[in-house]
Amino acid sequence: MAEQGKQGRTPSSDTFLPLSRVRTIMKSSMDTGLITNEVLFLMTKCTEMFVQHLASEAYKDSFPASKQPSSDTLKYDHLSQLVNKSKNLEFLLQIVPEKIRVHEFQEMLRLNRSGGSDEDDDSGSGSGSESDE
Amino acid sequence: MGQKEIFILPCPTLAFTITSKTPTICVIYAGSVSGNNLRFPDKLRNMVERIEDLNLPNAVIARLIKESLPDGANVSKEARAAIARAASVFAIFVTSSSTALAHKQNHKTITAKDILQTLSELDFESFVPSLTQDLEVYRKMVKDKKESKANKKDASTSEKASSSVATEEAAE
Repeated sequence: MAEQGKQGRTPSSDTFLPLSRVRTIMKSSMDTGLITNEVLFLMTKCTEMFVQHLASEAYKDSFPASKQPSSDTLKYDHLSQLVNKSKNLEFLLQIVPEKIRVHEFQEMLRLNRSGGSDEDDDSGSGSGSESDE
Repeated sequence: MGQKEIFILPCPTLAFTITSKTPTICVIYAGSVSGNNLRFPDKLRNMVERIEDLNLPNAVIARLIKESLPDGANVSKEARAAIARAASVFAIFVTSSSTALAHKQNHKTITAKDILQTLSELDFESFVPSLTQDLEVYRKMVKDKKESKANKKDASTSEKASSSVATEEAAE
């Protein structure tokens, strides 16, 4: 039907991701009103594009310019690196955080505590050990 | 910061901070926030019974990733899960941003235009051209469907119409 394919990609009205699931996700955002079919389609499409964008960017960054068919593996760290340096992926910083070691995390927690706020006093169940106090 | 509202999802690791101007999404780790400043909206509780309802199907995600990588490339399980999670959050992020945009224009529901505009505001302009094309194709398909339905109704007695519809569908 439509023969004009830009960027090696033909526009189509097919979606791969399930529309109903995307609708649920959209509804989980606050005060989303009515979701028309058109909007649902568009959102599904752009989520698909986002998945491919994320994967290919992370891959490109980590394995640059190796033209021969490679068998490299895309790992979590490549993703978190990409998220860390891309401005438009900032919203993912806490969703795909860089991995840190447990003792580094405990160090951070300690610094945070001494930093002043005693807001998280009763949060001990998460971290387990609270010997400082 | 007084305007900020925090909503927490049935999962301890995901929560949304929504301000009237710029919706941001953040993760609250279990135990990092004391319970009393969290509000659990009824609407949300009814909507999403299980946190898995917000996950996108693994197989589809895996296929999409594979398509975008060169042949022979592999994806670790962890990376795939992270991408799937990121995609859900992306959808929520774009939805709430476009809702905010629509509200700013005194519209109650979001339109396709709102989404496209939001995408370019969020620095994803590169998506817009292909999405616009997709949208055109989609609109055309919807229109065709409507027309063929109308045709069917008009000429339900003659077999000619239905067979032409069938070929049309096959051509797609």
